Amino acid sequence: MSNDHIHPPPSSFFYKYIWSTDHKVIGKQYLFTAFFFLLVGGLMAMLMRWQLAYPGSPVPVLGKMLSALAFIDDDGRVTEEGFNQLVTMHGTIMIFFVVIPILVGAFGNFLIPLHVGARDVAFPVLNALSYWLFLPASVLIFASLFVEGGPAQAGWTSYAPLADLTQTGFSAGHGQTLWLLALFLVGWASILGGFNFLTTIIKLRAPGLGWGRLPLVTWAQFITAVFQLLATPVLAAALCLMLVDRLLGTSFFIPEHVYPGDVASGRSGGGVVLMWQHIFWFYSHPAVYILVLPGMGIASDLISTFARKPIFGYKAMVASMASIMGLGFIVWGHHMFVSGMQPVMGKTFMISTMLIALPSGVKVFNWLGTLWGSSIRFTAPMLCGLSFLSMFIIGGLSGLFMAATPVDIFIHDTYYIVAHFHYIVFGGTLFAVFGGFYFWFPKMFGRMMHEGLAKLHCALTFVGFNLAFFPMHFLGEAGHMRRISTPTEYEWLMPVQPMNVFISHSAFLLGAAQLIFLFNFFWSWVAGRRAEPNPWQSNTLEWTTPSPIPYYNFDKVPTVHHGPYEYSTAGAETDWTPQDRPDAGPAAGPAAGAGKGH
Amino acid sequence: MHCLSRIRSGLPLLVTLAVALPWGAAEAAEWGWLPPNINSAYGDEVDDLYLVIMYLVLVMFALTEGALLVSCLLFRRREGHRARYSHGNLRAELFWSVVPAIILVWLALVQTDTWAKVRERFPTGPEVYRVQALAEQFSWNFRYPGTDGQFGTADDAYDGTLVVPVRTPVVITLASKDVIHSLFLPHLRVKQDTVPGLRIKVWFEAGRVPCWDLTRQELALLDPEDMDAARVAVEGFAFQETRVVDLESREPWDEGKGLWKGLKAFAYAPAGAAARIRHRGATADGAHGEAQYALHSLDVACAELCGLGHFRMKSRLFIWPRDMVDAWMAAKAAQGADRQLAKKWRRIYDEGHPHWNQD
Ligand code: HEM
Ligand SMILES: [Cu+2]
Ligand SMILES: [Cu+2]
Repeated sequence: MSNDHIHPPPSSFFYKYIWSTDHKVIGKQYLFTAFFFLLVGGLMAMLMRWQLAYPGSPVPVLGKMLSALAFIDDDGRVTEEGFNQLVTMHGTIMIFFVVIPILVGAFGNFLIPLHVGARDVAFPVLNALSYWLFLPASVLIFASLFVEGGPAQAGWTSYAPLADLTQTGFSAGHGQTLWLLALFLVGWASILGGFNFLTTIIKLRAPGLGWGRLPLVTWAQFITAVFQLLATPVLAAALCLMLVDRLLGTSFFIPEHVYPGDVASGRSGGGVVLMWQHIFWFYSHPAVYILVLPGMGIASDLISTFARKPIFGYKAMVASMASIMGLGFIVWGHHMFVSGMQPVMGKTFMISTMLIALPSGVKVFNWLGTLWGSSIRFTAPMLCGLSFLSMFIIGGLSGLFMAATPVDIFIHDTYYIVAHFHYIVFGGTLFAVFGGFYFWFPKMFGRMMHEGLAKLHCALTFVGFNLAFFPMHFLGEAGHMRRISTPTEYEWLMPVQPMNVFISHSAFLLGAAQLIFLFNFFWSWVAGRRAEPNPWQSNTLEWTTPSPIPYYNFDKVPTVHHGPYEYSTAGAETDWTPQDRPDAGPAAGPAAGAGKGH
Repeated sequence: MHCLSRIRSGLPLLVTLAVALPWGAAEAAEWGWLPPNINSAYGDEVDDLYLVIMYLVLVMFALTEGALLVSCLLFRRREGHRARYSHGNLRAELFWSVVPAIILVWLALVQTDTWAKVRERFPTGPEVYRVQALAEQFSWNFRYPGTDGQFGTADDAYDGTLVVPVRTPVVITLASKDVIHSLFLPHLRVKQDTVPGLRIKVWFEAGRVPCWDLTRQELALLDPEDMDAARVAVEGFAFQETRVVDLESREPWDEGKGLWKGLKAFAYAPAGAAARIRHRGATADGAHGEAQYALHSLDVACAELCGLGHFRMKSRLFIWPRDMVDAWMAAKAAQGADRQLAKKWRRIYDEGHPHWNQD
């Protein structure tokens, strides 16, 4: 790539911030949209926790303000019916409008070109288009909160026939149709993004940047992009089928003899109910890995950087992510052990699910290997990275119970499941995300985030999270179903109700702690300490640019001489070796930057 | 020595964790959180598997989190000290790939038999007790074959509760009238979705009879022999709910206070002039004071989100000695079903899928 090809940055507001093709701006567009939804989804979580602790009591302060919403009555109570809408929208928003946009849309966009030493993604206009598909999807899903009958109510999994039928009172209303449309658009945004990222990583790597020298966070994005490209079209197809079922009255997921509310379904029948679950989970199991792989990548970078030590077993780290991808396509049935699927299929999926725990385990051991013998700097990003690791361990281990089919029968659809995936997605991924912000904020905004506040936020989040989510394992063990509005209606659950109160209070603490993060973020943006180019003494290419990063990233496309994790090289002057530093001495590590026994 | 001093700065953390982790683990491993298990067919096998995994997981947890913690304490940054430069160690990596792989494969193998027992090897023969379930928004309907042992005939018994004999293999046929529901019997470790268009079977054997201990005012799960020897009220007591602050002390909750609505404490109180008391298989009138237990029932829930009224979809499970079940069924069969109800069953079973009435 020649250097005289740099265009000047756009000068009009519109091209700079709205229809921007700059990957860094698009990343921020995703970021701020996701922040908005983080608030919305978080608020919904607080409403749910209130109802579960104090069923039928008006929500203080907020209840009256929000009483225009379908799921809150005039006295400010969460209604028992509306609770379904809350769980549905909380899950949908957090997965599709918060975590995936932040991981892939924000971090992916921002970091991939920098990490491969490129000036932008391969297809900048396509990249803008991807955000501009995501935004209308966001508007649709947000608008669905206000339509008649309220938003979707069939869970983020939208199982047919509940989500597919249209009989008022017995099935999903307009909110469900909007849900389907919104997800369809999000799916396309995802497909375009994945396509773009793959091309960028394959074609635009700087000279010298072999596959063995890519930072793990970029490897993670690469594998995530493959997931998105192969799995999302399947979701899109399923959404289309359900849309035509709802809008045109076909029966892809509706069999004969279905009588919602004792009236005939009005469909010809002949469809297969479980087909929805198969297609949905064929996408959504990979999707749950989309929710964690980039987090694993971020955590790898944080841990190696602040341990001042090369990542332990780089090749195994990549190989385990790749095998997670491979196996990730053949485990979807573990969500369907009690669905009525053939028992022999249950056995098959049980075995593949046991196997997929292995690469996750290998990653954990390699992170621990990285820490062993290291020299740890306990910065805020590192604390988040370590929190990721310790929470991911718990989430992974709880997966083993659920993989055991006879045990899963009991804990399926209980709070055990809720605990499991929050340990991975909140305890794991969101900690990685917080760490990622504390780490890359100087590159994004040219200033440092406040370290003290960051540590406080990390500590409170760690405590609040564990107090809120660990006891959910106990509730699950007690058989407490998920997605029920009023646990006090069940005789056998009465003894565990005090735990619901405890969990809710912990959740309020956890929620409040996130305000520290948001405050720190926006305050630092305006008033944070100005950042030098490489405040953390890190190796990868983004740290060779000024902070904040100029429009075209690199005024000279860098040449890469090292792997990304050359820390504490013997004989080197500093304990880090930037990837573009040409002094490839004898101790600069293996040429490919990849693991050999030492 | 300086290794110790490095650890000292992390001592508060270490102590907290040293207390918190075993506590958490003990809580988790404790059977207390699991509801009592009365499935005498395969219930213990399921709970044992759960415990085996629990111990395995606790070991893995202690090793990994312990290594993490120790690394944090030992390898804090010190002036003039550099990390050990290493890209990995093939032998270590092989070790921690192969050993977990073996454990995981073992875990997969040991459970296949339990799974087959639960889901594939259904009991057969004349002693099997059969029930049909029809789930709908938002209630459970059950149908019993009556004296002829056939479904879809005039002497079928219909009820909204699940009534089964103790120590008898029970096979339930599940179907749904509208959307997916899920039959959940927590005390039997049974959960199975009901899917429109499919007939799905589950089976279990209830080993004990749910009764209510009238002195202690709490649930008592009696072996059939113990129940036989005891004096159990089958009529003459009313089940009551009160609001309390604490289930243990039953201290009453003050209506006017706060947002919390208290916990529900349950009790049976005498109702009517006399009680009907069962003792050694015979039932006779008796004074309330003679009864040690009252017959009770267990929760039946729907575990799948099934629409706006999902929260009110529940029922009760009665487990009785065989003679009581037979008498109850004969009485119910004599009542038959009202037209509305009969229509539902016809639509899904007798006319919709007639072969579902067969085995
Ligand atoms: C160690 C590996 C893991 C194993 C063995 C495992 C196993 C399982 C199983 C069997 C279920 C279904 C349980 C049920 O519904 O009854 C499940 C649910 C779930 N898992 Fe995992 N899991 C693992 C790791 C992960 C990871 C890395 C993620 C990613 C973020 C994840 C996210 C989820 C989510 C979101 C659900 C619940 C979906 C829902 O029903 O709403 N799990 N897991
Ligand atoms: Cu899955
Ligand atoms: Cu239901």
